[in-house]
Amino acid sequence: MTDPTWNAEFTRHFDLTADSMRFTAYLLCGNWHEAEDVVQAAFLKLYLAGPKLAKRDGLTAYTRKIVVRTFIGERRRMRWRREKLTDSPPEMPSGGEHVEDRLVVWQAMSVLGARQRAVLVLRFWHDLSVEETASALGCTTGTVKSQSARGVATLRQRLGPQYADLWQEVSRRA
Amino acid sequence: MREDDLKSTFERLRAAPMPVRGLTADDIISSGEAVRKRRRTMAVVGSGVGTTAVVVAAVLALALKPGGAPNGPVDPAGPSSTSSVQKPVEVPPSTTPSPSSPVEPSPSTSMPPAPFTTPPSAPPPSTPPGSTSAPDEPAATSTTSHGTTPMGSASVAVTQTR
Repeated sequence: MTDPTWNAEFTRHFDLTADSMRFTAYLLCGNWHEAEDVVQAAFLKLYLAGPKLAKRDGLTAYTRKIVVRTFIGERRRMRWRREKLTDSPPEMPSGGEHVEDRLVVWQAMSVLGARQRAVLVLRFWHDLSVEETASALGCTTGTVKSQSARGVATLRQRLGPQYADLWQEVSRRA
Repeated sequence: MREDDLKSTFERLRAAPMPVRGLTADDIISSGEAVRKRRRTMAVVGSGVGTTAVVVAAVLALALKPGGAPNGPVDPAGPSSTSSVQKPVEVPPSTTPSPSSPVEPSPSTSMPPAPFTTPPSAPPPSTPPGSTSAPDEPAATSTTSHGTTPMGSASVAVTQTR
């Protein structure tokens, strides 16, 4: 049962938000390949759920919620997987094209848990409030506050005073 | 490190060139249609298998039920060759009442209790004044008579003593 109205609306929404969602997924996942998979799964869920939606005026926020929750679910399942997705084959040296993979903050964020990273991305990239972040993640506002504080503290501890120098180096390479 | 540094880091990352997107809306739509078709097929097959399983289980339950189904074919019912007339059951009259049979009420219990004294409007009997019992009222004398003697004789005995 194909709904041509929904197909047209979905196509328009995809063209508008696909890049933004890709970048959000990239911030969450840490590499473009996994981000592509997460975005594809999220948009597929959105497409399947679209005809059942009563109101379609908040599709962007809904899509972002799906992306974040898909990422957290993938990370939960990844614990039991043997293979791990990487941006490039391990036997090949990483090229200079994707220099953002070497970002210092990026490496520091890689040690954070999935929820902490999602909280930081939603709070400091999407500028969501504590309540909106809690709604997107499906947790309480207290959890958002604690996860945010712990995440920033971990970044501070890992980056430390060398953060400025490392950032200059990364910027020069980029 | 402050929160602003994190935000500026994200912004610089956003400004960096992104790889080419290998995903289009048509790919998502075609994948969604395939998923819907697969789900519909699974639903139809699942409901069919479920219905078949329920029917088979019901048939097996009825067949394996002990005494539920007859072993062979049953002949149709026809008229019987011998006729029998039922005789009414005669109850022999019992001479001695059984202990469980209802006991006929005695006259003393069936009759309403009579007053001990005669009404003043009654005509005076032949007995001399002062006697309290009439000879034709056994209930009044039965309470005053002795245990095993008949009532009539008791009243007679009373009158004789007077």
